[in-house]
Formats: sequence, structure tokens, C-alpha cells
Amino acid sequence: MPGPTNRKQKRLDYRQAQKENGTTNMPKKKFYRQRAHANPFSDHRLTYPTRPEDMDWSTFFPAFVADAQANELPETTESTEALEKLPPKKLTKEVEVVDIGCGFGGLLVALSPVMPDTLLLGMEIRSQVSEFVQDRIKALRIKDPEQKQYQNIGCLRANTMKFLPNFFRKAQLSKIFICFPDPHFKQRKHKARIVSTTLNSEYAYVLKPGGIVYTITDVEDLHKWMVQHLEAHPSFERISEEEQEADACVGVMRTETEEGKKVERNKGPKFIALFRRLEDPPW
Amino acid sequence: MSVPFQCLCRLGQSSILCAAKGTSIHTFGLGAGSSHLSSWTHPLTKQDGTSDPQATSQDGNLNEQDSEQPPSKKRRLNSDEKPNEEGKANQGETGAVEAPESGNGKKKNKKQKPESRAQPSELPFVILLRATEDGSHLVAVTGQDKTLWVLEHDGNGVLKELSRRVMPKRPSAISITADGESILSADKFGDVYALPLIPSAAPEAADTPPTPSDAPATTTATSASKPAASRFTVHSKRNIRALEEQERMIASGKVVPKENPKFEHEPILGHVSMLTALATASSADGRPYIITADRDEHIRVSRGALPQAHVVERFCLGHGSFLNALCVPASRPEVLVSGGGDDELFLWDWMAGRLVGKADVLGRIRKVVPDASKVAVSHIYSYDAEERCYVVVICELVPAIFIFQLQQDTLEHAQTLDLAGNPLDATVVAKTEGSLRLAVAVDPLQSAESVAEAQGSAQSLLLFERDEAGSWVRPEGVPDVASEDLGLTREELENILYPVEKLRKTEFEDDAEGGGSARDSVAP
Repeated sequence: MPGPTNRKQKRLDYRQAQKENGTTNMPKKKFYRQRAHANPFSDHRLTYPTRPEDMDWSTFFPAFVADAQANELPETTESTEALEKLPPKKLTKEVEVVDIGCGFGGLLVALSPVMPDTLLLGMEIRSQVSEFVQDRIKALRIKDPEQKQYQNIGCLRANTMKFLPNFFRKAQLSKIFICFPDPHFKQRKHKARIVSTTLNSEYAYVLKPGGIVYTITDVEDLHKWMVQHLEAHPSFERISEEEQEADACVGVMRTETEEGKKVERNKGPKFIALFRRLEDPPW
Repeated sequence: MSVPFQCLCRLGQSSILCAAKGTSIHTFGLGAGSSHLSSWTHPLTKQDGTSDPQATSQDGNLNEQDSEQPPSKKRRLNSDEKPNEEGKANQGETGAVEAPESGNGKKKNKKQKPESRAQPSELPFVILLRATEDGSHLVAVTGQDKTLWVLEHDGNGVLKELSRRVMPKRPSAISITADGESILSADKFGDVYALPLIPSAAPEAADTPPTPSDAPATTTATSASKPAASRFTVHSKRNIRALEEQERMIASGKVVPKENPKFEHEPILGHVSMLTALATASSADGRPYIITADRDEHIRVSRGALPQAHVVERFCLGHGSFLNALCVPASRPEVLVSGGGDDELFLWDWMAGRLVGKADVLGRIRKVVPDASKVAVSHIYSYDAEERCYVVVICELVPAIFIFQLQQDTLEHAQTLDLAGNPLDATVVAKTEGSLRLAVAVDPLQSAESVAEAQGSAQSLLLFERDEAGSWVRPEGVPDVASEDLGLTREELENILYPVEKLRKTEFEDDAEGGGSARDSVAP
């Protein structure tokens, strides 16, 4: 078995090769492995915009940049000063669908053709995994001879529990997917769960009235937890099973995430619940 | 060593000043001359060597419910322990070397194991003081034991302890609602609770409001009777073993669900980030709002009445470093002044979430401390004088106070008030009709030669008067009150008195995970 240094070296070599040959090949997961859990409370070396207006989406969705000449500009890693100086390039549309904790990006890739005219964004806290999804999207885009497919999906590294309002305006989103989140079994860790009364208020903030939160998990207890917390929240109501099964996204969510496939292989159960964002009461 | 005054508070419109020194609170009458009126001391430190809080509580007239309260945790104030602690303090941070062995070398593990905590234990210093608008009640927070105290003020400087409530987490900011009925308490865990100022006589012990993060879950009995994981969800050998262990524990009935405090405390909103400041404000049409600020640069504006406090109206985003202080001036309620680790103060139209302007602080600090490179704002207060609105700014470890005048859309520097030590807190007190005084709590410089000639010398509590031009002048020391030796080293004391700079992000738990990559940018 290769030692850790060996593995690291291989990983570096692989990344270098990926960069040089223009990422025509699909990335291999084994070079992007990372432990499954990340502490949402600690300070990761994250990059996030100060305000949603400051976010430069053009590198994520180059096909949707409003300004025609924008594509000619060299792609540089923007320094924070640059961000402050130049207003970011505008897109023709805004991100409307977010996959929180997108993992290796299975749902994004599967939803891309289902909603070709909507911008979908995966957000993942693990740096290696988010890089994998970015490389995967790059490779998928290149593979398409017409360069049309997979232009509407993107992925970035973020801690959504802390920084969701840095990326999105109030009522910007129409769908939020929360697929197979970290169950945080221990009572002491429940605050780290992605669904909680206080976080639901933030999901309600970024969702437009009528927007939907999709949840799926293989942990029954967590399912109950998510249902209870979202149902108890005054900004959300649960969507009936009938309507749920009629939603095209539900089928995709059930079968296309990496974690969903793993549960399938292990013949485990899957629990699904959808919630609609209600209008705020008069104030 | 003696400790300075660290928190100040004005009691209503009276000329009575309330000042906390270590674990005690003192009141001073500032009407004619200044005189010490009375004091309250945290029961744990009142008598050395006792560890039973009930036995030493003031007046002996505690409410019945007080005795039902869980005793404060982690008290280590026995006299025989003190030498030991001092020894540890000398080692300072080197003690942390022991810590990794108890966990995976991560900071969070300290919390679970207070015994193995290498840091010197902390005394229950008063960290926050707020009085109701009319000055009839005083709310104090002692940090180490996470306790919220309500004291009644008789109008003549005498304080009477009414209640003590041990919060689930250490409060980091408190506020009293405009109606004077409720206390809002924000904590390091990111939650904001509303508590009645006067606890209801019969606390509903059975049906206590749970913490927001586990609210509905506690109502399901199922979670306690079987582990949350199952064979479908855990696969690795270690996890399966852990699951088996959990099942055994539950079968043997050893699992005791964590108890929530037995008093009314309603979770009303929360952040995932650590909350550092809290303010209440009203819009022009009279609707109340709660403004919260966190360590991750957010200022959030939520609806301020309970059934709708979950509605986030907007964020005021623009800070690049942690936040630590918020101020909505009483005479300009549409304005919010915020500060923290950024070089400037930010001025907001908080109803619109719009940044109106910034005021440089670092430049001002450099005129006092020439080699200063960063700012850690610890307090922002406002006061009105002659129909003008002023803002008082205190920065951690800067021996001066900065006064700004709030213009229409800007903050204009008005005065830098040099001090003989680092200011810890300040408040403006009415002296007589129309005349104001600025009370400042100072941590006197330890070894500076300048002390003797500097204003107020080694006094810890200073009073300034306003001259015709509106500047604060002629400091006068308030006679110090004797305090018993709390057995703290200077280092331990500074640890307690200067917590703000520690909020800055310096360590990142990252990229040991295999990243360390050149791409720190979010861009693909």
C-alpha cells in the first residue's frame, strides 16, 4: 500500500497532468478523496463574496455571461482587491437552484438536462470534493461537441451554514436540495445538522415564496428531524406525497446522487420530504 | 493584585452609576461629588473558600425558585486551588501541549473535558451590564458560570438580587426590549433567547422550552429509546462497534437526556456563527427589530416581535472582519454604527441594508499607538448633547477614547481622549439638569513612567466634564473601592479583560486534509 506521501505525490502529478492536457478526461474520484465529515463551525480557508452583488459568477457559467466581450478576458484567479475594484460581470440569469452539500455532483449532472434554462449551483464544504465536481463539469462541457450541454451547472466550495446570505439575495432561489446530509448522530452534534430551526430561517430568506426545499436521507431519525424542524417552522409547509411524486426532480434526486446509489446497493431505505416556502405574514 | 473596573452602566436618567469590578457590582452617586453607595458581589467570591452558592448568596432572601436552579458549573474557586492555578498560568499557553492527547488535537475537544483544560480557570467576572430604561432593574452577566443575574434598584443606589439564571451557553451580548419586559440574550453558540425580566413565579418545570437546535426532537420519545444510526447507515468496523456500544448503553438505561434550564427562555432566532453583538431598534413606523452581528462578518436584521422573529428581513453585508459592537443611537434610530476587526466603523441605513459610509479608526489609533496595525473595536455607544449626536468608540488595548459626531451621513472625528491606561468601558451619566459626564473604566498602565503625569494617574474609574466646545476635559477620579484579592495573575486578568482580538480568524482547520493547493479561490 502506498504511504501517505506517495499518495499525495500521485495526486499532485495527476492534477498537473489534468491541467496540462486541458481536462479532456473525466476526473478520477480516487485522486479527490477526502474524509466524509467537515466541521461546519471551524474557520476553513474559504473564499466568499462580502455581498451577493460582489460575486463573480462568470467563471462558473461562462455561457451565460451577459456581456459578449467578457469571454475574451483572460481567466485569472481574482484577488480580493480586484473584486472590490471591478464590478463583477453580469450573467443573463441568476442562480436559482442550489444543491447544499452536493458531494461528487451526481444530482447536478443529472438535473442539468432536466432544467436546461436554469442555473444550478452545487455547494460543497470539502475542498477536494468541490474541485472534483468542478473538473467533472469542465470535462463534461468539453466532451460535448456542440459545447452546449452542462453549461448551466457549477460548483463552488462554501460553508452554506455560515455564508449562504453572502452568495444569494433575499428570495433569489426557487429550489434548495439537501441530499443525504451528514446525520450527526450524537446529540451534542445536532447543532451541526444542516436542518435546524435557526438555519431554516436562512433558507426561507434566500428562497422565494413558493420555492421548495427537497430533502432525502437514508437515516430515518434524521428524516424525522428534518420533517419536524421544517414543519414546525412558520415559513414552511410540507408538500403532499402526491405532489411530491409528480415532481420530476424527486425521481432524479432518488436515483442520481452518489450517496443514493450507494444506499441502493446496500438495499437501504430512502426517506424523502419536500417543503414549500410560504409568504411571510403581514408585519 | 487589584482589578480595575471593567463594565459601566447608567441607571436610568439618574446620576447613579453602576460599575462592575471583578466579580462585584458597585453603585456610585455622582450628583454632588462622587460617593460609593452600595455593592453586590457574586456569591461564589463573596466568601473565600466556600463553594456552595446558596450558602453565601446575598441577603439570604433568594426566591424559592433560585434554589431549584442548577448550581453554576465549573466553579473552581476553592482557596486551596489558587496557588495551583497560578502555577499553571506561568506556563501560559504551553499548557496546551497536553491537550492534543485528550482529543485529536482540535480546539473543540477542550469543551468536552473541562478537567483537562490547560487554561487557568476563570473567575465569574461580570462581563455585561444593562439597565432598564427607567433604571429600576439591572441585568448582569457573569461569564465563567454563564449566569444572568437580575438585580432590583431602589432608585437610591441599593441593589437587591432578584434572580439568577444559568444560561445554556455563555451570553455574549444582551439587550432589554423597549417595553422593559424581556431580556434578549445572544450567546457564543449563535442563539438568541428571550427571557422575561422577572421570571414567572411558577416555572413550568415539566415543559421547558428546549434549545432551538433540538426543539421538536425532544418531543419524540423515539430518539431516546433507540440510536439514530442503523445497520443501513453505518458500514465501517469502528462505526458498527460504536453503534453496538450505543445500543448497549440504551438497553442498560444509562443514557440520561440532557436537562434544559428550568426557567422560561424562548429561543427566538440564531446564527451558526458566534454572536458577538445585539441591538434592538424600531423603524420609523414603530415596528421593532432585532439586529444581530456575528464573528463571520454578518449583520442580520430580524423582525423583533416574538411570533415573527424567525423572519429575516435583510442582512447588512460589507464588513471584512469580525464584528463586535453595534449601536443604534437613540436620537437617530434609522442609523446603525458597527465595528469590530475592520479598520473602519461602518455606518448603515439598516432598514434598507445599505452602507452609508465608513469612518477610519486605524488612522486615529495610529496617532495614539504609532505602530498599531489592526483594530479591535470593543464598544460603541452614543449620547446626545446640545441636539447633536455623538458616538463613543473604545478599541481594545488602545489607551484613548474616540469621539465622533454623527452628521447626516457621516461620522466626523470630534475628539481623541487620551488616557493613562486602556479603557475597558464608558458611559455618559447625567450630572444635573442638562450637564453630562463621561465615566470611563480604565485598566491603569502597569509600568509606564507616564502614569504620574498622565490624566487621572492610576485611577480606574474616571469622570470627565464637558467644556463649552463639547470636549471632554478635567478628569476626576472616583474613589476606588477596596476589593479583595482575587488571586489572579496579570496574565489571567488580561485574558478576561481583553477578549476581542481573539475573535479574529487566524487559524484555519484545513488543507492538512490534502488540499494545500494553489487554488484558494472559489473560481473553478
